Amino acid sequence: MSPVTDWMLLSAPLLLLAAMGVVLMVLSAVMRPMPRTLFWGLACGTVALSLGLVARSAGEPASDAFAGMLRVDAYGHFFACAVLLGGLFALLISDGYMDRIGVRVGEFYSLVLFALCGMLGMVYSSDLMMTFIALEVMSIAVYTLCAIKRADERAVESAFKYFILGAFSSGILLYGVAMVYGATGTTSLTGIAHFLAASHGDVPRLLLLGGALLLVGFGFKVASVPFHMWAPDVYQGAPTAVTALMATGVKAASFAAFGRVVIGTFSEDASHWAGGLWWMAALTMLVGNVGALVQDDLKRMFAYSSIAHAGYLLMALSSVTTAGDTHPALGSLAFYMLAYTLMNAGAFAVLSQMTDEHGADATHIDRLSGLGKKHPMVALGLSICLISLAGLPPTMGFVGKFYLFSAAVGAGQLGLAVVGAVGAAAGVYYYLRPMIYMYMRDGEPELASDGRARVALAITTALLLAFGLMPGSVLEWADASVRSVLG
Amino acid sequence: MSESVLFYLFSFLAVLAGLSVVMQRSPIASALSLVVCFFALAADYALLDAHFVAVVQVLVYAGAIMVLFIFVIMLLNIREPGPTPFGLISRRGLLGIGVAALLGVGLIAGLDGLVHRPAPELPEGYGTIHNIGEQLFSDRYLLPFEAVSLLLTVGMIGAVVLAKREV
Repeated sequence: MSPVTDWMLLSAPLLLLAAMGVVLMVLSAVMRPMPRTLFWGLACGTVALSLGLVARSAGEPASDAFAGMLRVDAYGHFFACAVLLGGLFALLISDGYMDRIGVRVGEFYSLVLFALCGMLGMVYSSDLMMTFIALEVMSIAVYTLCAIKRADERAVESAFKYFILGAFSSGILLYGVAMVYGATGTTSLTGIAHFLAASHGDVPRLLLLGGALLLVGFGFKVASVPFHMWAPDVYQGAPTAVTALMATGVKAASFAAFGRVVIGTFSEDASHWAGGLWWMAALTMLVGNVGALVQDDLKRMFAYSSIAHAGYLLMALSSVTTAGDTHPALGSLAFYMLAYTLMNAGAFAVLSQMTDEHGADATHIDRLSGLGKKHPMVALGLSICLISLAGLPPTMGFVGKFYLFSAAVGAGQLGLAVVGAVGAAAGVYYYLRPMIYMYMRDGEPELASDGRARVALAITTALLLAFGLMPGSVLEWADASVRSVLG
Repeated sequence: MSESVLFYLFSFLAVLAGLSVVMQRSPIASALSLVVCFFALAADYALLDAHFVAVVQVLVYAGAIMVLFIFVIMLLNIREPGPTPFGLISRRGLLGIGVAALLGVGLIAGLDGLVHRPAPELPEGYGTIHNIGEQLFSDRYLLPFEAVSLLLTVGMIGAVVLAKREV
């Protein structure tokens, strides 16, 4: 296919996001002070339109674009939907929130669009070089977004920490890419898969080393143990709207790229990867869940919870890698990712309304006391998200966890499933604790009345319940999407 | 033959300069060692027939980026720390050395099977500007090339948003 049709058809959402990012950048330079509603509307409209474009092309057959740099397939479409949904919800809560914390810069929306563009690049990329560049586009935009409240020392400090560690991990990832290239002579994921298939288990050591470094690099991006140290500080320090984007879009995009590399390419050489993934998954589930138990700040608790969920997703990745084509529930990875995106988006929609009169975050768990009486609808929405996160019926989180664990058992990963079940049991405690505060304690909770954040909460809870009760079609789509990478 | 002697010579120089970058106590000396390292690498690239990359390495890295580096170091006016007693390595330093050694051993073990393979023939026009231009603008690398421009834009916006006096 010629580059022109590639641009027009296959990468339309990418192009749209990048173009609108540039437009907003220019507008924010000339329109001062920023007309908030216009910027917010343009950004939301662009993301919604991209989501529509992705959803429209979801049924089309897979095709390569740009000489194999991108692979536009069901897997990509599924994760692109998750990413864009996360982005859309983060934008919905960001207008009111950013105004409350006193950050009124148009570049915020421009950077969010660029970050989403980078995420889509990661999701569709089928070449390690493209994956790396897209990952950097996303990361640099997100580093900046974390520090965008410049007056807040803690935010800037955590953003700086994130930047330094992130740059380091990008370096490690790139080193890994270079070694993989050195061993195989190609950065194309299909090329590497062919190389592995032809080597019949006799894998060059350089490729193993490169693979190990890739594992570290991706492990950092998805916040898995032992590369998770940055997550609690950064999640807590960053503005809540940005944390929401990190917990949904960044996570989904990183897992999409990670999954494409592991499932699509290195599953040819599963024996060397399975061990590392196994340990990473087990440790991540344990450390995340245990860490979350003792947190009193909700944002910090959600950071540990996001580590724990990275563990569950790694378990799915590990079981798909070991079982391959014969896997009973291939789609569990993709399905759980979507569920995770929705439940976090809903929870952060509530957290974003917890700001004090000085524009600082007030997300201590005490502040939820009495919420059930004063704002019953918000409390109900948050409860549904928390129930879903804990993995209890009748929500999407329950269906997701059910498939995840049955997939792990089906793939013979009994040990991992046991570790995960212990972690999930701990999860029930810390996810239900906020509900005890909301319904069983008295207090005067102060919640900013943010209509758009409540719309986001309403949509996510509705989707969580709908997909929890009728998961069939989404699950089928998730299955088909992961199958499309297996080739 | 003489080419491979030169190659090893410059590689050795690059490694030495790299060590000097991390071991020098004064930031300026570190930065200047980095310049040496970049030049040695450029020579290696040239010996590998990657002439364009060699020129860009000198222009961009040794030229532009290092000047920027040194400017920043001088502007920050970092004072040279006092001498530490000989043989005192912090625990963090030990950890760094350990990881570097591990990586080095892994790399040597990994390269083991590769160095004895005969080098493949270079394709016609390898390393020429014509060839590189074709690859970048029409062929395989069109999208990454464009994506890098987006990356630079994002970096620039980020720097301005964070560093501007008032937003």
